[in-house]
Amino acid sequence: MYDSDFRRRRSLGPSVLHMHSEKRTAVFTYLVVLLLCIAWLGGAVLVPILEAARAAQVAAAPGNSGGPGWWMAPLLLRAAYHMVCHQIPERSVWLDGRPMAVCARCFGIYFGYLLGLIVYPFSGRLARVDNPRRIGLILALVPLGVDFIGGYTGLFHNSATSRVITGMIAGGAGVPYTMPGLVSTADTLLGSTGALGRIRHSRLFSHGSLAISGGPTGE
Amino acid sequence: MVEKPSKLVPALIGGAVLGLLSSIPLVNIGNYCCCLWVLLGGALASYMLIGRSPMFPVRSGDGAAVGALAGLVGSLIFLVLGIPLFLLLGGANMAGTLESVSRSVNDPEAARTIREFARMFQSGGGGIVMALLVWLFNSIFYVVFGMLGGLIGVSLFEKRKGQPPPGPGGGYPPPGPPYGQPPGPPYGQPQGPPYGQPPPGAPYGQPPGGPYGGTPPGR
Repeated sequence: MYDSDFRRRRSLGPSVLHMHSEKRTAVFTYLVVLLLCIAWLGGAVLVPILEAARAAQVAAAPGNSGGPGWWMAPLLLRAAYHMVCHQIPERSVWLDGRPMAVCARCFGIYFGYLLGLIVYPFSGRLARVDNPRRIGLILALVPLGVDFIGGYTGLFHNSATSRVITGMIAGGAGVPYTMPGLVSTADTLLGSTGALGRIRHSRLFSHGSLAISGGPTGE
Repeated sequence: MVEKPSKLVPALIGGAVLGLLSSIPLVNIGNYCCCLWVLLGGALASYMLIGRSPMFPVRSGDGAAVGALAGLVGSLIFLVLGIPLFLLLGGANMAGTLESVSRSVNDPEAARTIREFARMFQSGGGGIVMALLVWLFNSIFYVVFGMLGGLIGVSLFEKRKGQPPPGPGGGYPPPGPPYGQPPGPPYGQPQGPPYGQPPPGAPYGQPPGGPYGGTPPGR
């Protein structure tokens, strides 16, 4: 399997060869990034929901505080997200009567990135390790920049909706410019030519109980 | 063979910039904008790496690696510079933040615990523990966002594309037969006798395998 894949990649020619990663490594990297992104965005969304649920519980039974985890978890999450966001309530999206752990623009960026990740495999670029043309990234950052500068200087009044939408454009556009590098890094570490991959594909793992399928001698 | 440029100097300079900007009070507010200084430090490191690599284009994986290294250097600088400043100035701010959180918790018991927590930060030992926890959290963010900054830096600053990777074979194993198969004849050499010539060892005009009506050899 390794040899056939290797020969197929070589047949593409040298200029294309270094633009592709192993599909298996690319899929693995994609799934890890997708899970991390869901966890990151989920944490920001979960904070107000947890706080509201706890407040409802306290209102229903004033003596029952529900244990320290009920209020410590959202507190720690807010503290963690405070390192990357100002968390000003007036500039945040509210859920259940409480602001999210990140501001509207940050939420837009993360949500856009997640949507971009979901769509990314359908673009056929999953295993590619070269970046698209940079003009796309610059153009995607323009609405966010205009919205920020306009609001900051008072040229116009931006809203939570405009901050979320411009953030989503920037975040979604960031996927094809970051995923190739993450796949390339994973390929360097885990691929058949990478440091960990050489160990994984070595003859040690191709004999006896340590045998794995897909290695160079594991066919 | 031309070697790839070292990532150490770009990582040190990018890390110094992000560490300094993230440590200085008031200036570090920039990090509330999606870790702006960290992204900038990672992008600066990859920009410098591109400048130091005149022969070969810097791949996005290299940008990710140098950005992550810059984040690591920045976290060490934050430990040396930012943590003492945090203890001097930031501890009171953190205590103030916790006080405001305790007011919004809407539970007397939880609010009392948070206030005790805030007082602990203002004391000597508790402040140091808190500062080290802040540093630990920051280090994770610095490495991750530094890596993203490095990826974005390569996307923005690397214009060279489509060149073959350095070194013979581009880091891939040399072409050869699959494991366990004997090597075939060299390319261009015929495998059998030329057309119109009998196979070696057989008499002219006689079919291979024996005369007509005779028993084939080996029976």
